[in-house]
Amino acid sequence: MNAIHRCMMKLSILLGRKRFRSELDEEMAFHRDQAQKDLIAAGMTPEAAHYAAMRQFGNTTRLKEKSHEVVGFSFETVLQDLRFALRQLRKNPAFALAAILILALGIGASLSIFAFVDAALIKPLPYPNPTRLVDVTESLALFPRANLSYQDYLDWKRMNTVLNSFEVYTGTGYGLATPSGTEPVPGERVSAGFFGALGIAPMLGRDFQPADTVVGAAMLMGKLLFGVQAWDAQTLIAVALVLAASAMVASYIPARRAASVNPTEALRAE
Amino acid sequence: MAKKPDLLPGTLDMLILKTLTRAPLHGYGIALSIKRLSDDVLTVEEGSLYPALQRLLLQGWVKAEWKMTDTNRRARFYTLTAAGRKQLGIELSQFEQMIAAIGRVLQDAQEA
Repeated sequence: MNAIHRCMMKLSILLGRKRFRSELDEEMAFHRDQAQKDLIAAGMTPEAAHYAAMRQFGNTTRLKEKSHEVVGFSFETVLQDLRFALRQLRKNPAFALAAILILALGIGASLSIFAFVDAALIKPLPYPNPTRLVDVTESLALFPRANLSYQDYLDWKRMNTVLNSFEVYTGTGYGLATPSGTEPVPGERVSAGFFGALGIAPMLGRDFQPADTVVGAAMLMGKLLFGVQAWDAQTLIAVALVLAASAMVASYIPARRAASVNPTEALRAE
Repeated sequence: MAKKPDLLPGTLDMLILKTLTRAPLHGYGIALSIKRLSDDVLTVEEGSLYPALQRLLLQGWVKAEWKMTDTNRRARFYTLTAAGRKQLGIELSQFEQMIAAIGRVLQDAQEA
């Protein structure tokens, strides 16, 4: 007989689960009664025979479970474990809440620490050739990363024979005209070839041209999560799915391992 | 009470199939039959018998139907199917090969 046949039989038993149980019950009751009768015939008192038959038969619940395991699908035990877990959580709401909060805090804390370490130490700079970028500064004993004057920069750039391009930046701030008035925004002043040297281009509009090398000639605006709205459905669903999937995997694997332990064998080993 | 020797692992299915070649039997009848035919040496525990029967049903090697016993009680009788007969042949030949192989090893050990 092939796998399809087995699967169909399992399915029919799954749908007729009540009937499967009652038939198994009746079959086992019959077995016990017959054993009891034989013991009485062999000269035992009815009461002693009853207990002897029960003893011989063993743990009926465990026995039924073993038969169930044969005909059941493996995911059924997972569903049972899940239902059991939910019931336990519902029974102790305070414990459930505390557990969920602690888990949330733990996951959140490790996630943020990892995000920082990842960005600062693990991930390379987000440019095409991060290994070929170097930082050049003026250096004094008192001020190791000292500022560079613009004239010195021009001289350095002219005399440079080592680097493909040599660009400069400095932090500053600007007033941004918005419909609700002028808002201060932090900004950087950069030389015209700055983005070209990093190997990136703006998502919209044009990069700086050499002719822009006049203060305030042109501006580029950066935006975090360019084009992502706060209620972007795609992003929200994707994030929710990833979190749910990792939670499922994280709970399924230990649950499965725990479920594979046969309690009678575990106790016997003690 | 001395502990009875366990069944050789993997032989239960074969013993059940063999028992059913004579006539359809219910679970208790199968256990009793194996016990009697082996002169009380082999006892089939109920804990293994019923799961094994479910396994054989799933494989399509036996069929089950509810019938009346001689004492007029309803019981589930198991019947060997054609596929079950074929499977019994396979298992018997494998078992014989195994026993013969073990026998040869033991023979050699005795002579040495």
